[in-house]
Order: sequence, then structure tokens, then C-alpha cells
Amino acid sequence: MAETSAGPRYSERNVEERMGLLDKAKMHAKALSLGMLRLARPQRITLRYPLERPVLSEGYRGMIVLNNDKCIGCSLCARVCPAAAMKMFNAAPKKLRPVINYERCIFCGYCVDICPVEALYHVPVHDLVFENRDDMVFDLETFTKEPEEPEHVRKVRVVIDEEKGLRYVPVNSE
Amino acid sequence: MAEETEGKNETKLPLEGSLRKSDQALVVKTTPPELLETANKLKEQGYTTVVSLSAVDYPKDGKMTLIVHVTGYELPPGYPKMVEIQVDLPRENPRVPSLINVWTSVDFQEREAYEMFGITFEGHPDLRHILLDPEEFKDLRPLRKDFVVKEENIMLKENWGDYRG
Amino acid sequence: MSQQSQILTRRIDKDILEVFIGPQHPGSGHMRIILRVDGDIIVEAEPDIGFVHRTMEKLAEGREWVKNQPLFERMAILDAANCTLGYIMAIEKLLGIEPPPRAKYIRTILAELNRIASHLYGMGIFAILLGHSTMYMWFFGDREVFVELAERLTGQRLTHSFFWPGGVRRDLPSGFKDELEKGIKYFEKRLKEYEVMFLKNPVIRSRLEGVGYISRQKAAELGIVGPNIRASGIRHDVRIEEPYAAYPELDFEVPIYKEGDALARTLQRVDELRESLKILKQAVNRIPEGPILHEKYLKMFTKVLKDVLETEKRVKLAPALFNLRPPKGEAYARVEAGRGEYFYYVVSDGQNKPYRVRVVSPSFRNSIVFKYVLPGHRVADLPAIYGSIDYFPPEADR
Repeated sequence: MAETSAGPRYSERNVEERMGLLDKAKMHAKALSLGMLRLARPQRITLRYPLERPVLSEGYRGMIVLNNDKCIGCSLCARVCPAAAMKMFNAAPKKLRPVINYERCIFCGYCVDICPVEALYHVPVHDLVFENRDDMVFDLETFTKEPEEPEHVRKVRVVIDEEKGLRYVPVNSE
Repeated sequence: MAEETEGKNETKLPLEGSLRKSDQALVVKTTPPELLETANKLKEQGYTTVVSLSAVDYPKDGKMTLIVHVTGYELPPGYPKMVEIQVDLPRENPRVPSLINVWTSVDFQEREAYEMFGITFEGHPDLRHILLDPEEFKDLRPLRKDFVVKEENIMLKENWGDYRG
Repeated sequence: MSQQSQILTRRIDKDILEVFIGPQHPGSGHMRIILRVDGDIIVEAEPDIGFVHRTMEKLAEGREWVKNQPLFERMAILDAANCTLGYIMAIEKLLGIEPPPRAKYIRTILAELNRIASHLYGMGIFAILLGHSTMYMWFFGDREVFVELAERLTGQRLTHSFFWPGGVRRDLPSGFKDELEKGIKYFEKRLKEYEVMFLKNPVIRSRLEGVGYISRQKAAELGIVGPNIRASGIRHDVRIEEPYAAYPELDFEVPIYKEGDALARTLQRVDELRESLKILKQAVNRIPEGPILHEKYLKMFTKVLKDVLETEKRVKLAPALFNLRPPKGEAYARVEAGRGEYFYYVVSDGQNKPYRVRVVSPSFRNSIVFKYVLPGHRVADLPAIYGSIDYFPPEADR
């Protein structure tokens, strides 16, 4: 590959010479002053979770909800599930329906993507808390209900910022 | 071995083999006694490094194939980027000379092939288990086809099967 | 020998002691290094890996081809796109298909976002191993920008599972270009601050200079990969050697350092971050319009699938992709990930499940360094060497 032409190419570089005493003192001072600057003007990007919650980006692969009316019971979702989190059962004679076990689910979204009738969909919730492990195993009733987000939390929008990296803008409560 | 789309070795590497159509790797077939000779020849040509050393088990054909992928850095133009050495071995007590004196980089990979397939590399100075527990997997060879991992059924079972713990 | 002490020692010879380091979490996962030390000089080192081994190669044999993507990305979730791309490319080689250009660009964008995030993660761990907790926070904080960008593109922060054989799962979201450019501008400023705080910091320099030297010849002999081998002066980057995705169309440099010590490896990574930014800038500007899945599969889309693709720009999993039966044969593919080269070798017997998948991860190949490079160094240099190799145990153990 020619060295000069555009396109991917290698370029040899060198580590600088070892620093002399004077340079060392200078770099120490520089590092310290930068540290002091950030102490005075911090660039915090820590989100005060769970008091603040981010609005998840559009298309976030959150928890999965079943639209029971659309489901045709083809069981493709259970077959595609890489974590064996989704299983089929007989909701009525000749009426298969999936249920999900959130102990296993890895949120890959394969089941949502394979569903031929769009009966499964993601909701922008990913952090429900369960009191025990048995609650994480959903039955048809819980699986068809959209999980509710806890109240009394400030919702913030995550904005990518040139100066601060990430910024959190509060969403006005309606 | 699956049928290969045979292609002649049109590369500049002076070694007998066939160029595989799917990925342009040069496939070189050899036997356990000739393995070291092939390896030395490759090393002389600038193939300094082993990328992968493993095997594929074919119980139907009653054999196991040791597969070594070798590459080199800054190879001359026209040389294949990847050379695949295939050595057919019996499934019972497969033995093959160790490549560690040719390529140091096979050290851990030979240990892995030993624990996963039970291939003995003669001359390896430290042939022990590396990833698996030496006690539990003393006689089990997980990557052989007779070691079966059961996948769960898609139908709901009481308590989600035996794996819930 | 006291059971309470964190580090157990055993006298094995006159003046030689055995020190067990690990298997608690020494930085990035569970592994153990068994050292034999004379005073504080290491005379023998034995990396004891496998604490997070999952035998992925076996599990992969029991699952349909696309179902292995979420499995393999669990080798290194911080670098999920790069570590699964090789597998998908190997399948594509078996099928004899190439993704359309737009899909290739999207793959490149995600791969570079992942490379930056992965380097920042590795450097963060490195910084805390050296006791520099400020940089640990900074690296991890800035990584969040790129994780956020990846989330907007794929819908998940880390476990993207973003590729289908022959394409990608989603198109770029609207406004992605602006956001990416903002993130790049922010990060370029930060790179200057890294220099002051970390790279030219005299304390860090004296911890790294001349430590863990790997010569050019030894690097080739040990078969180490990625930034580590390039820092020893070997010109090897899969993006150039066996071009894939949109890399051959982009203009970037792969830095090569000759020094081969921990400092060179660190500078190597930071330089690669700069090049990744260059790649990202070009990729979002040059990305062509067009489909994001191979037409062979687009043809099989039903009406529902087509509607979703048009309205939500989401490629659903056509049953043909799920029941993929690549023709009999073998193929290998390799990809340059953050920590080095991922190698996949797949064997198909014409069934809907792979007959055999062999995966060699960069950390597995780099783990050999501990055995052959550590002897002769002081125990106090171990964190600097461990961190500069950017070793990631779950990836090595697979």
C-alpha cells in the first residue's frame, strides 16, 4: 500500500525523549493546575439516579410487552430467544401464547424483531424492581400490561454537549 | 470433511495446497509425522505466528481434524494472509508432535486443544488443563461431538425447567 | 499459611516464594497470576486463566446461526460490535454475500464507537491500577458519551447485537450526525487534557518508561495482537491487511511505535483514539443512501416487515435469516477489535446450526505475555504491565 495516497495506511511514530528535571516540574505544575481548575469548575456527568431518570432514546430495547389480540401463537419468539427466556404455553385449547422470564431475558430484542405480526413491542422501561425472583417470571396477565414507571422522579433528557460531554435537561412536568 | 471448492494454489507461496474459495485461505493437508516439516517450511517463508490451533470432530467419519491457522506479519505481496494446516487424526488416542518449538504462540492453544479434544501434543513441556477444572473434566472432552449440551424445549415447564437453581 | 491474608505465599525453594495474585477482580475480570518471586523480582509467572470460562464454542453448536450473536458478544460486552462482527462476516463468507454499502458504513461507525469506548475502558482500568484515580473517573466519564451514542444507534448501551448476516438491524436515527459531531468535538478537547493529566504526567511516565518491554521479534513469536503488537513496531492491523466494512474507503492512519514498552502501548491507544475520531467524522459524512440489508433477504420480506422497515427504519428478522442454512464448507474471518484481532472459524454442514465455531479472542492470545514477559520484572511493575496489555479476562476465557 502506497504511503502517501489516501486510504488506510501505517504511520510510524516515536515516543518522546525522557523528560528533564525542569520539564518534569513544569508538567507537574500543569497537571496540578488542571486538577485545581476542574475542582473549581467541575465537569460532572453523573446522573442522580434514581432521583433523576433519563428519557431513553427512541427505539430503546427495554422491557417487552405482548399485544394479546395481535398474537397468532406461532411460537417463533420462543424459538428465537437466545436465553430461553420466552416459553409458550396453552392459554386455551389450540391457543399458544408466550410468557417471559426476566431472570433470563437479555434484552436482545430478537423476539420483537421476529414477530411476524408485530404483537411484541419494547417499552422504554428497563429498571423495574422485583421483590422476589418469582415475580420476575411473568404470566400472561403481567406480560400483556405495560409496566408503569415509578412516580415522583424527575425525568431528564440526555443531551450530548460540546463543552460538557453529557448534559441533563429536565423535562417539564405536564 | 465437507466438500471443498477446490482451487489451485495460485499464490507465490511455494507449498502444496489448495486455495479455498470462500475466504482465500491456503489449505495445506498433512499427516502427523510430516507436521513438523510443514511447520518449519512455513516458518521459513515468514509465517511467524499461530492464530488458532483447534480441532473439528467428525465421529461419522471416525476421525478428528487438527486445524492450525498460521499467519505472518508484513508478508511479501502475493502470499496468502492465512494458511490452514489440516491434520487428520484418529478419534482414539490422537497424538501429534507439539509445535511449540516452531511457534511459541501455540503454547496455550495446545493446552486448550488437549483439554477440549484430548489430543496429546508430544513434546509440549506443560500439557495441563488451562480453562477447565482439571478434576471435573478429567475424562470429559467438551468439544467432542459425543459431549452433548441439551438445549431447552420451547414449551413452558413447571418452574422453568431444571436450570433455575 | 494464614487463611485471612489476601495474598497467600508459599516457600517453594530457598529464597523463592510463590505469590498468588487473584482470582479476585484485579481490574477487569477474574483471573489469577501465580508468581514465583525472589525478593521482589519475578522469576516465573504462570497465568491461571479460565475463571469465567463458558465453553461458548460448544454452546454455539446447539443454537441457530443468528442466535449465537448475543452469546459471543458476552466475551467482551464493552466491545460488543467488534467481537460479533467477525462471526457475522464468517457466515457471510459461507453464504457468499456482501452487505450493501450503507450497512457497511453503519457497521464501521458502530465498530469505531466501540473501539473508543473499549480503549477508554481499558485505559480507565489502567489508570486505577497505577493509582491515578482522577483519570480513572475521566476515562469512564468520557466513555459514557460514546456509550450514549451507541445506544441511540442500536437501542442498547452495551449489548448491541446489532448485525444480521447481510446487513444491520437499524438505520442511523435522525439527527445522529449532529450528535456524533458534538461528541467528537468534546472528545478532541478532552484528549488535550488527557495529555496534561496523564500522558505527560511525570509520575505516570516514570511508572511506564521501559517497563514491560517486548521486542519486535518477541512480539511476533508470542503472537500477541492489537495495539500491543503495533507498539512493538510490527505493521499489522486487520483493517488494512484484510479490509472489511467501509475501512478501505476511508482515510486514516494506523500508528506504529517501535519502543515496545508500556508507555508506547499507552500512547498507541491514545493515538488510535484520534484516528477513530477521524474515521467517524468521515463515515457519517460519506455514508451513502441505500438499503441496509442484502437484497436477497429484503425480497423475502412480508408486508408487515416492509412497513416496519419503512416507518421505523428497523430491519426485522425475516424467518429466512433465522433458519439460515449456509452451504457446506468452512470459512474464517477476522476483525480488528479494540484489544486486537478476533478470529472466527466456522464449519457448516448445511444445517441450521453451526457444526463448529472456533473463536480466538485477542486477550487469549495476549495472555501468553504474562508467562514470557513478566519474569525479570519487579512485582511493583506488574500492574503497569497488566494494564498496558489491556487484558480482559472474560474475553480470554470465552
